[in-house]
Amino acid sequence: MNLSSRFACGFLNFSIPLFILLSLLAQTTLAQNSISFEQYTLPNGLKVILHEDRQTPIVAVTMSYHVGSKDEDPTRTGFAHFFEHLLFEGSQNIARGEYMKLVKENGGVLNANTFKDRTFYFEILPSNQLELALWMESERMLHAKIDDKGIETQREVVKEERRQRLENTPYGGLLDETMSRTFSRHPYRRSVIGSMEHLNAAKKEEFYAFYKKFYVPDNAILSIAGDINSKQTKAWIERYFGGIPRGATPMKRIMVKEPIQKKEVRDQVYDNIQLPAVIHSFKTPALGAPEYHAVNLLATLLSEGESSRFQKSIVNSQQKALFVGAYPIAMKEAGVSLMFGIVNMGVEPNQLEESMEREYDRVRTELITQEEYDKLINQVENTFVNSLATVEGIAETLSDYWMYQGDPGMVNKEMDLYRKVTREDIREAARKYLVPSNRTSLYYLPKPKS
Amino acid sequence: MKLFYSFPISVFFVWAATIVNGQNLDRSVRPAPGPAPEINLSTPERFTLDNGMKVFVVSNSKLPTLSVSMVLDFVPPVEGPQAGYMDITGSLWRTGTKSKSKEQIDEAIDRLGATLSTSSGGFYASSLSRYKTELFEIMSDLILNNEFRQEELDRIKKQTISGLQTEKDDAGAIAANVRRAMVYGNHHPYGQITTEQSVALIDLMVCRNFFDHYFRPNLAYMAIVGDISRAEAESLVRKAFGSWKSGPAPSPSYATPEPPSETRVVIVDRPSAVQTVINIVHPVSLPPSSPDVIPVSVMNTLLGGGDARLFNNLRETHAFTYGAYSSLSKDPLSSMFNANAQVRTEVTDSAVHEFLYELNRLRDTIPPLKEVDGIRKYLTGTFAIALQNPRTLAQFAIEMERYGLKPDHYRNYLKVLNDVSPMMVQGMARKHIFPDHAYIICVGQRAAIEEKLKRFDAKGSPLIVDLYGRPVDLSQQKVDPDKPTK
Repeated sequence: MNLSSRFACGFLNFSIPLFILLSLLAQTTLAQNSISFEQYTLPNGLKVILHEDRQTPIVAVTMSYHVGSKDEDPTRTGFAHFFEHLLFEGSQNIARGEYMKLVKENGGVLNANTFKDRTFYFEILPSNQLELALWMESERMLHAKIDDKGIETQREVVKEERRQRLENTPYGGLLDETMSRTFSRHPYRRSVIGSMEHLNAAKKEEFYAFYKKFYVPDNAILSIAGDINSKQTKAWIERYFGGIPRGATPMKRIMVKEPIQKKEVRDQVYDNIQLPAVIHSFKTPALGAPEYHAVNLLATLLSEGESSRFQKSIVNSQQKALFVGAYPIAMKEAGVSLMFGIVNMGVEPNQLEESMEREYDRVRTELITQEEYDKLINQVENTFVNSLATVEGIAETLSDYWMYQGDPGMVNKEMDLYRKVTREDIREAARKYLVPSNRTSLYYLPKPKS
Repeated sequence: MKLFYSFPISVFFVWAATIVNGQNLDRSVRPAPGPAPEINLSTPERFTLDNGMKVFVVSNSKLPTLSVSMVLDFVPPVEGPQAGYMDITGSLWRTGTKSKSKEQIDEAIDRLGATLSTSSGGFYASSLSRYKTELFEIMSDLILNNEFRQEELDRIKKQTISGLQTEKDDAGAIAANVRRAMVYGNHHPYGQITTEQSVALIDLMVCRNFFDHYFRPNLAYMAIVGDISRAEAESLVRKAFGSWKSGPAPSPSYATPEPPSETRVVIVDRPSAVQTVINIVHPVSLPPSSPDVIPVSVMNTLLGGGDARLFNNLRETHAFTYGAYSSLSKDPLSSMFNANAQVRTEVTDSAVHEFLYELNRLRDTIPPLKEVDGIRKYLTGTFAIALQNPRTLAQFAIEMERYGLKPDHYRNYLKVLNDVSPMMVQGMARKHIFPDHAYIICVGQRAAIEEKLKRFDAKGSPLIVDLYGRPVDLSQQKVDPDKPTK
């Protein structure tokens, strides 16, 4: 079951947003090699990252705006993602329908995705088309343009995306159902794809205000990786982005503090499914915060590989689950460790839940062995190294480090942070976070047949 | 220069009145590309073991990792009443060897931080390159010394049956079953449908028999890619697989599947559905050695590859769907053309209409040169993008060997691609796409769609089938399991 591809919402449905995997993937570094890059900030506040890799004559151009569903008006859920769709409509100099075509007929691919904290656009092109991609992204930032036809079309497209992802897919609403109960006040509780009602209500004027506020150079990161000449690239960046003015007013974000959870939240959801599922959502530290790495290793321990605790005991030995996994969801202001299991036929959800609880209990009481610890480090490293196999992977990883932790150089530092986590730290993290009072528990149950 | 824009007047809505100063930038001028970069196609190293196993090595030390994959080249058998045993064997051969239990094998793989997934036709493994010796030892033990155990088979069967259970509410999985049943039927290996009943019949013997007949080194192509030299790779492979015994493999042959004589609408009822999954399908003969392969890829990309005609029509113009696509890829036995989308229930018939319109338009009219040229450039660019993964080179080499392609096939790829003309694109559509000989499979709310879909069915009466493509007996409202699907 590929959960990760379900998390973010995107413009086209044939690419997997890398971002969600970051919590596992991007947190270690290469054993020997380090990733080299340049970083600087234009006078208008645009952050720039350049990574040169001449192996293949292609380039990935990515633009990440620090705006996601958490920044929406609560009566306009889905707005940030809807808006992402509209930014493919064109600009002063790019006619409607031309944006995608321009990239395609120049040998490239493009897409975008939106999640809680940020909206991410990218193009991958033959390296001789770098200037085109920079022009296009600058057009999008400076003077995007849409018409009524574009708004109404994308409104329906987004509603179809919602139906396809959430309503017509078994367990499709899982993340929204879970997050809305996990957070009582923080905007992470809101759905990224939004509600039908809010999507219907979104107005043209509201898009304009949103654009003016968030789509400004001082709220964005341009990250480029591939077959580039750094000097020439910088000159083009200056040419196309240098003259774009900063946002009119300094960005004010409403920071909502989630109250400390005192007791377990339990609920159930009915869906068009055959087999019940059990979800435990634990609140965990934000991306990069202390204990963040220990919590990630905890998730790896529970569900990475056939010998992981969940897999070995619940799936293979007890055979209570068709599937059970641990998914750390990395976000800027708070984290969530999501445990999700589907029962095997004939197994009741409470039986599966008991087994999951026994595994939490075990890691809270017993120290993991040194052998098991070494395994976790190897697993995290292998996954991470593979995520840097492509130029788009590198561009996105560097961009996200800057966005989420204020330093793209974390890419070369974080393995040390992982290795500093001790076996005792992992047990401590389990004692602190993997406890019922910090948990939202949800049973997904088949709708009664009418 | 003027960079002041007027504000929302009637149709157009313009954002951001902005002055860009300090430079003479005419933003209406689109940057021209630099000189086209050279695409470098290096040839993988290769060697063959005495037992016939062919090995391809692409050394690339950019990352401290390596991957090893193996594919077995055989024509699959028809599984019959025990459908699903090939897939189950694909899982089973990872679960025990003469000296190791499943737990010990899992532990050995995970300890390295490695991944190893097995299937009915080979395996894929990856690890940090510092553990390459250990990785080869594990793979060798699994291939040469595997032991199939009843308790592991029972566990996999139980998982499989639970998995089939969840698919009953998964419209995509249902559509996949129905198109297999309609296009291939149960006398062709591509038409096999795994059900709870067929899984229940699978025993150790049928799995063992399959493995022993088809897992032969003389059928095997291995690709080793990453931080490893040819010499290292050869010594590891010889040690790991040198003693693997070759032998003859069955080579069944099948009648070429033919498109239906007339177009039929096929409905699977899902009363709870908010969308209809539409698949317009039929078989196509497109073996990898066919000269049509490259022109067909241009034709299909123009029709339904990403933001192409189907996407622009059904999504960008009509907003029926999140995306509409088509696929048609080469295959030695039989290919399937599939034009597909998920659309909201109310527009199901309108969407089918637009699909058919686009298929017929491509057959009836030569596409504009500009459009074809855009697709050629797109495929040229994505060829370069694919090459950033060094596995692509190994895959090319294996394809050339398996399908007897000319040694310069991929070297000439871009040239051949650029020679594909608009007329050839139309020719490929006429030759390989048959809107009048297709199955229009719709998984959705029957009560809401059946009446409106009648006009697309040659008999004016859509076929109603169950989750596995078997006709539903309307008079008795029950499934007739013995009735053949084709």
